[in-house]
Amino acid sequence: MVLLETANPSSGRPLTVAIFGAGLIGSAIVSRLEASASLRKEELPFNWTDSSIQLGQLQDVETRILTGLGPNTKQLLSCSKLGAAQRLLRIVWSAGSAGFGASHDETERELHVFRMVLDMAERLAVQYPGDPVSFYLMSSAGGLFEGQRHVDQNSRPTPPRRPYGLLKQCQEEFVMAAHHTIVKKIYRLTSVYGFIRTRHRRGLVPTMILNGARRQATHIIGGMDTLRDFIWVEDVAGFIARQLLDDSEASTESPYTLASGKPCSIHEIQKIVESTIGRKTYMTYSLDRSNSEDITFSNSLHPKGWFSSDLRLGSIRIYNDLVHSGILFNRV
Amino acid sequence: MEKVYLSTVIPVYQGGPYLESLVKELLTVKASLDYEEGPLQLIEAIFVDDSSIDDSSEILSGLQAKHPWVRILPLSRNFGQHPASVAGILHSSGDWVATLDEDLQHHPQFLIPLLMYAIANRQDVVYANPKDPVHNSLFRDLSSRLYKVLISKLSNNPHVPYFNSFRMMRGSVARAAASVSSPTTYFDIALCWFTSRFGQLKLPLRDQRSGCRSGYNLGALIQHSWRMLVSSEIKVLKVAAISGFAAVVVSLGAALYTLIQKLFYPEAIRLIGWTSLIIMTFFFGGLLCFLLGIVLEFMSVLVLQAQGKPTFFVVDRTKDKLLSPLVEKYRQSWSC
Repeated sequence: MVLLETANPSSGRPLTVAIFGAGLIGSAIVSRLEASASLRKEELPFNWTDSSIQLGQLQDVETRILTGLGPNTKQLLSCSKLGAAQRLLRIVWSAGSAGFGASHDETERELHVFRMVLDMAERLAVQYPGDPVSFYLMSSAGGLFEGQRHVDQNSRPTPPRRPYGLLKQCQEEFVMAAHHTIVKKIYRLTSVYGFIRTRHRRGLVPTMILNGARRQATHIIGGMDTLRDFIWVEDVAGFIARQLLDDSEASTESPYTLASGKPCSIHEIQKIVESTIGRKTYMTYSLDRSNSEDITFSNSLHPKGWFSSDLRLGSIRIYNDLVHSGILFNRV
Repeated sequence: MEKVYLSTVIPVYQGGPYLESLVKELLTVKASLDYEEGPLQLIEAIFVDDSSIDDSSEILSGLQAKHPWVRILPLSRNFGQHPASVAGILHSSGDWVATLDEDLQHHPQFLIPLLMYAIANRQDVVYANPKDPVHNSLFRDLSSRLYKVLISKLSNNPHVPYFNSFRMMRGSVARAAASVSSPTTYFDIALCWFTSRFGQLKLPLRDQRSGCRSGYNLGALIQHSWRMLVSSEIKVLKVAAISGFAAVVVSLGAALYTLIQKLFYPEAIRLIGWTSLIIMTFFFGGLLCFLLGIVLEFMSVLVLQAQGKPTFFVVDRTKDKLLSPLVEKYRQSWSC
């Protein structure tokens, strides 16, 4: 997990952001915050698999949040007790080792860790009522609305069809039921794509680019005409970073559905990737109908300030990042 | 209940006077489908604002505010009807996608009959074509028809005469064709790369514009025709190559005949040099024609590959059975 300390750009109030999960979305948010404001950053150990040490590590994180990262934090805290400069504490949950096809056991483990982090947020909110605590949950629009097309304001989440959907539903319910002083912000994201260094859960678009450039086949679980909604991680990170740095706590818009509003078939992505890398791609398909249901969203869901880039642009950026990072040639 | 979704795509350029009526007609179709509570649902009407030159943008904004199923896709500049349709199709999510003009010439009341015709005849694309001349211009109607017949014969594509901007398409096929369409691709030709199940339904379509000029001027029509020509696989190239090859064979036969004549019946040759000159001209002319035909055929293959002609495409038609019970209800609308 990553802990960041900065001052709010507009009001100058001290701001602490604790980001759980520095994967594709989490790391993009950190980068965007680093680019937007000068801050102190520390990466704290947190084991996502070993439950025996998680509680201890989480207590260390809590202590670190309270004591602060730098010499000025205590002074800021004392100021906040006087009400002169309330410290803003924002906890972001962008973790998720359990993907769309995760098993029940995997989602159970993730939910357990999530519950511990939320408990920590509640403790902080209760112990330090002067310091407003906000909880930012990265949820999944695909998991909640699986099988629905043209999801709009009137659409209601589908009863969960898989453990992943149930996990996201439970996480949202837990957040909504959390202590009343916590400001809750839920972001329902569609299929997020972007550049990530690690092999773990690289995502469809980078995998297709990588395999296409290496003349390897990409295996798709689903059909060529399966429709999904893709959003670029930089757009997501920019939107959330702006909200993290914003002073206004309450929001009537949450949950936010961050979707492009443009359905995209696997065949269309293949054509975009081929035009990006300048060569044909090799695809194999397995006709697993459970993963080939269309999930699409209306652009009327776009929250204020949200903009979704074209998939072609994101695809080119990923290709450039893959080339410049050396991953394309080093077979990482 | 499992649903079958229908999307409509309407490019808008100067349709201000018709848009409210058009949305009203679409609403009638949508409401009747919702009322029947059947498997079919009109899910969205995508209006592609192709940098309209009248007050269409403002009218559309008002209509979107009233009807959440109305979507606006504003294009950055005027790209033309075909690219606008492609953009709209790529933003659609229906199992079936219909494209229609903004001016009510393509009346929404025909949407469901078109779809049912496609289901009844197991087709992926159905064009609505006018029963009678539609443009109030005999020259335009006739030249358009003749041009399509010519391209159809030259490209050996029997579906070309059906082509019309009022179409009902299987969503997956339409989106696949749209995703490979470049600025020079004729969208309907691209559809032929993904399916051979085409049909047409003759309907009483009329040009509703009174006193308004068509969005297509002569230049645009020529450009439109040219796009169709370059997207098609013109068989003339093959004919030229075969003719060239035939000329080479004939010239070789003539050369052999002349050689035998020269060896055994030299007295029969009265004019020395003329025969060999003609044979040489015939031979090299034919050879050049043949080689040029091969080169152009290679180029044609490369162009089609660059345009995105697929090796194969998979399509799921299993949902059609949900609509089969509705076919009988609408059969009368096309059988009469």
